Amino acid sequence: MSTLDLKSKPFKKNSILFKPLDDGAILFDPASETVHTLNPSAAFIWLHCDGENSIEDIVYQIKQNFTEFKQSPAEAVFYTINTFQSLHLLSE
Amino acid sequence: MRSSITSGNPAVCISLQHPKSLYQQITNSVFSELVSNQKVIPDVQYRIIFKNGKYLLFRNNRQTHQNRSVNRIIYALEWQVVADILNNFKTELKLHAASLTFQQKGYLFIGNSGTGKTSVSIALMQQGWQLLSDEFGILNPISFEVYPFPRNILIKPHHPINQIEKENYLSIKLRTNHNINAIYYFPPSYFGQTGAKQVPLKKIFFLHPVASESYKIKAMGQREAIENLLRSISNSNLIKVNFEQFITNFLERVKVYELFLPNPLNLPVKVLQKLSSQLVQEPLKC
Repeated sequence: MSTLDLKSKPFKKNSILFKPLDDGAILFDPASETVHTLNPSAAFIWLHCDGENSIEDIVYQIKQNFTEFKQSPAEAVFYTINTFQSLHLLSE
Repeated sequence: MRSSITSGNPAVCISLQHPKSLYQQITNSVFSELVSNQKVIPDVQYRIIFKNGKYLLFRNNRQTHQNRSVNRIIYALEWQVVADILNNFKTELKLHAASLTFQQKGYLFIGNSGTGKTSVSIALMQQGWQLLSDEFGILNPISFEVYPFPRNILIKPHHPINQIEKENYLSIKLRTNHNINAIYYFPPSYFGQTGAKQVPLKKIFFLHPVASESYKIKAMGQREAIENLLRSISNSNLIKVNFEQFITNFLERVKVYELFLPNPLNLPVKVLQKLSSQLVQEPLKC
């Protein structure tokens, strides 16, 4: 996946380990041996990057579950998924 | 003359051969709790000789240092032996932390240099805690046990210890950015007791020095706790094989807090007593 749009269906790599926490989650990428910590909304977005949900779906879902955003919900989702992508956590 | 040092898990045996005149300095160096006259089958051999006005230090027959100052050569010996002992903990995590035990439970105090690890160690030893290490926290990533490494305590100029007392102990002058400071090696027994066995880790406190007169303890969220813990481990490659298990065990077994603490050696006794009992509270009320 190179360019994201509302119809894109991001798909997390199966190899990435996900560990839920009380206040978010952590991801561990065994390939790069790196750990990433996620706040609750980023953890929510990660769980919805299942190849079934489009970014539009994720934006809708996040509006239902979270109320406070630094940017708009859509910007938050795009920013987070772009970050996952740049960290090579998503399947191509 | 021969001395020996035995420490670690499994134990590493180190033999020291040195001029008789250095015996006092060596036993007063960081190894006062570990050094003995026992004969050992050494894993590592050190030898110090005095030749042409200089001390020469050899490790396994290979010269590693030379210096005219006996303190300098013992300082070099110390750090090599520290590395030998730490390297022998092949399956344990190493953290820049003070570790103490109270009633067979382990506590880590993590912070950068100058955040008060040594001061909190001394203060709590005076409240009946036992020192495991004031500089290196050694943690088994599976059992979550903390291991002792009872080096001597390095007393720096900001520690409020009587200068007359300091003169009884080995010192070395270290250059910092702006000046030259004397550091003194105090045996842990000067301040209290040391723990000899590994104990299960119960709590971690991240130290924040503050200028206020009272301390504050704040529970740390899981995400921040993991971020801070991972930053503090110097050999985190050890946990990458069983990362999920490590995190699961960590979250189940260890509580993590931030400790905002003025110099504990300047706290009134009553406040220090309250701090000591609050740190071991289950559950800890912040």
